[in-house]
Amino acid sequence: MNNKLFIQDGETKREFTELEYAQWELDQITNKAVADANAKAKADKAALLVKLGITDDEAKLLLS
Amino acid sequence: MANPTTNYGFVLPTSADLVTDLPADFDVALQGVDTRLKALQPGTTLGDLAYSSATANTNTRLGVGSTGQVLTVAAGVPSWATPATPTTGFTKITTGTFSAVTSVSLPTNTFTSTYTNYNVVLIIASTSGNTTITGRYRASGTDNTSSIYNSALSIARVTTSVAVVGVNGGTSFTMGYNAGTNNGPFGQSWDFLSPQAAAEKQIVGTGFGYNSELDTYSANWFGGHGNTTTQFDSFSWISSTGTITGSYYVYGYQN
Repeated sequence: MNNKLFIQDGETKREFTELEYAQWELDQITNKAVADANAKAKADKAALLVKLGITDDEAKLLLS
Repeated sequence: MANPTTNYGFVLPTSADLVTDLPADFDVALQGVDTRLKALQPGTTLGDLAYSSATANTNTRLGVGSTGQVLTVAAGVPSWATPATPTTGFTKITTGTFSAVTSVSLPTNTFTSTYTNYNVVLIIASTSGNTTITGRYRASGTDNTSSIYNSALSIARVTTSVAVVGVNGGTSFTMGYNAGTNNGPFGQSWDFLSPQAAAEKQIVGTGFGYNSELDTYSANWFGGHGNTTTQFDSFSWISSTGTITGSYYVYGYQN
């Protein structure tokens, strides 16, 4: 890994251990999956609104 | 003068005594005075006190107490005692700072059996990027990455739009956001319930941050559930992007 990562572990600031680097990589994959899912949901919603020919606010009014 | 004397009964020479008996008479009289004075002032050491005893004209010595002790009464007489530690409802456990790190962990054994519930304040003074702050319970120096985390983070942006970020059986809590473009607003105060107890855990709290997605300040309310009875002694926060700089404060609620 090019960029070193550090943790403030209580009173000690130290570099991540190998296990912590591994967990960090897993977290990045999870974060990306969540971000991709959110972006897809947002895009799907926008596409649906375009198809319906209404705005987000108009959709909220219709559903209220 | 009455002879013997009125208060202490000192026996004085009389007019009938022979002159040759005077030295012995004064010996008796002054020894009586000496004995009585010692009975009234029994102190022997710097700081000694004396108090009246049940015996007439005789005081009891009370040796000086130790540093921090206070004068009190026990069994009807004065004595020195160490005052009990006052019980307070809110006790500082630890504080700390961090600078340019990806994650922050409270010291091992921050959570102990002394307190069931804690207040934890996290202030992030600056971040190097637009970051999501996640959190994990920690025991013996290792974060718990099991799927025990259920939480909801309700975000109210100053532009009045709202959002909710949920975690259902995740490997960490999502606890807040901050942006590298607008440092300073991130401050959170959470109550950690039963983190060290052999019981399921909860975290509830509120705070303020900066939502990079819509580039607005935002208030947030957080509720989390640690779905495990594992006993934890610490907690970690992890920045999803870049590094964070700030401080934390932990207080124990009296049981």
